[in-house]
Order: sequence, then C-alpha cells, then structure tokens
Amino acid sequence: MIAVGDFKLVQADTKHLPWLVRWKNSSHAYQWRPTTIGFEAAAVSSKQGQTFIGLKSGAPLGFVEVMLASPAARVKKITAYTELPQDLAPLVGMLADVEFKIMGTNKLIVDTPAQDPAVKVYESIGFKIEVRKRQHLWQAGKPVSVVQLGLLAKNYDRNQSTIASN
Amino acid sequence: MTEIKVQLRQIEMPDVAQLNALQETPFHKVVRFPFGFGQAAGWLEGIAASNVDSFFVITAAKEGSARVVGLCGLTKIDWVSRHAEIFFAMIDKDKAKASIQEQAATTTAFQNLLQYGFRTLNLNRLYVCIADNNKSLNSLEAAGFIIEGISEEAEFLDGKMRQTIHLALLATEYENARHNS
Repeated sequence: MIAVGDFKLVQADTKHLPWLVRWKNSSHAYQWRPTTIGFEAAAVSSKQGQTFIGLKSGAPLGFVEVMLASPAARVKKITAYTELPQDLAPLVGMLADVEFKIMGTNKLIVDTPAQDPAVKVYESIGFKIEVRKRQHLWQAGKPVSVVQLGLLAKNYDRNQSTIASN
Repeated sequence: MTEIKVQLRQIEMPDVAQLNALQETPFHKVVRFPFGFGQAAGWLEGIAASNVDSFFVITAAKEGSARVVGLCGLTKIDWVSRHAEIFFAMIDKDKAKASIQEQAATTTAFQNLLQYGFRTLNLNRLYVCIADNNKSLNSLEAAGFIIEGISEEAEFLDGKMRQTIHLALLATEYENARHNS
C-alpha cells in the first residue's frame, strides 16, 4: 500500500469488485465494455497484469490497471479511471512512484482519446505524446483518434514524487 | 519464368518445424514462438480458440511444390473499434535455404493479408509497430502505411533499447489506393 496524505493506492481484491464493475460499466470509461463481477474477479486474479484501487479518505475514487507491454524493455501500459477528473493526477502519480521506485519499470505508456482532458493531466505528470493513432477507438458512435503518451523513468520528476513528498 | 503461387492458409502441426526458423529472427520478440512441438500444440490450440488473433502460414509454390516461407496474421483484433495489429515475418532466405524468390511472395502475401483484414473482417484500421532498425519501413510506406509516431525506449533488441515506429493504414486509404491503381 502507498499512502500520500488522504490518498492511498492498494492492490485490488474481491471487496473492490463491485466498484470495478460500476466504473467499467460507466459510459465515461476510456473503452466502455459491459463487464460483470465474475469477469472482473478473473481479471483481478490474473497474472497478466495488476489492478490497483485508489482511495481518498478511505473511499474508492478510481482504479488503475498495469500490463506488461514490452517485458525486456520494462515497459508497462496503464489504464486509469477516476470518477472525479482531479483525482487522476494523484492516482497516476502514486502508481508512477510504485513502478519507477519499487518495480524497476523503465517506462509507462497510456492511451487516451486525443480530445480527452486527461491528456493535460498526464502531461502535467511528465508524460509526453508519442503517437497519434488515427481512428483507433470507436466511441459514442464514431471513430476517434487516440494519443499514446509515454513517461520514461529518467524523465520522471522525482521532486514531484508523491512518495518523496509524503 | 515460372509463376510463383502464394497462399495464406491455416497453421498445421507439420508447419512448426519450418516456422521455428523464425526464432532466429528479430521477429521472435513479437510472437513468443514455441520452442518445441509440445509448446507448439498449446500455442496452436490457443490460436484456434482465440477470436482476437488470426494467424496464417505463407506458402509459395513453384512448379507444383509448395513450401512454407513465412508466418503472418492479425492480432489484438478489436471488434468494436475495428482495428488489429499486423504480424508479418518471412523465414530468412539463407537460414531456411529457400529456393523460391522471397520478394514476390512477400509482396503478394502482405497484400493478401491487408485484403483479409479490410475486405473479409471489415476492419477500419491496421497498424504495426517496428523497431527503428527494421528494414521493412520503406515497404510499409510503399504499401500506404503512414507513420503516426515514434516511441522512445520501447523495445530491447540486440542488447540495447530501441525506438519503435508506429504505422497505420485506414480502410479508406486502402480502398482509395486500390481504386487509383
């Protein structure tokens, strides 16, 4: 568990499944897919990736999933979602601390719709736009472009590190 | 000159021995290719059961005798957003001691794969990521693929970090190119 002020990042377990289902069934999620408790239970226990839950004053605020994208290059792909946009930065910041300082990850990448306000949030953490994927996502009845942002460990501003500031 | 007939067909167990030549190429980073027949059986079962991967062997026939010259397919197929990543690897000419011209087979097989993706599966976008030292960049651009970006330190190959170049082709671009040609 990582804690910074009121925020905590914990490994998802079965008690968080209803929250995961609620968030993923939200039409605001990046890539909306109907899901179920059973499906999420299998995903959480899968060795293919890890799911973390963000807590604020003990209440769940969102999740972030981490998948190996290129094991030899130590690149991981994340998918993050928070109910409130202002909670995204602390959630991803805590995850970056965990990945770069503890897990030995060299790079984090994330995909997000090009017009999504989350792009600015990721850039504020240090992510840079690397790829513009044209018509990569079907969203709200039309194809939309997606940007891939990347953050290298060497470019991560450790002065902004949430763990260091704790 | 004898015509070379190129086909994409499903993978069978006897193909594995020839496909194992791919392990010696940089392409093995894309597909964790099985190292023996036991693992190959599991891999093939996984492919057969998957609805997000579609792999083929590439065969080339000259004067009636067909042989496997490569492996290709579409992977990470997203049926909602209608996109997929291309995998394409030819068996190295020297290592596999190919006796058939590879270039013609490569071009034909690649076009067949694009046609399968756009005209059979009705996908909207096919994309591929290649390391910055990959020699296929010019061929991909010639096929209509457009560079969408470069990702730093995205792959580890031959002992060092490499950039990857992201390219994609949209269905409209594919159809326009075919119409114009």
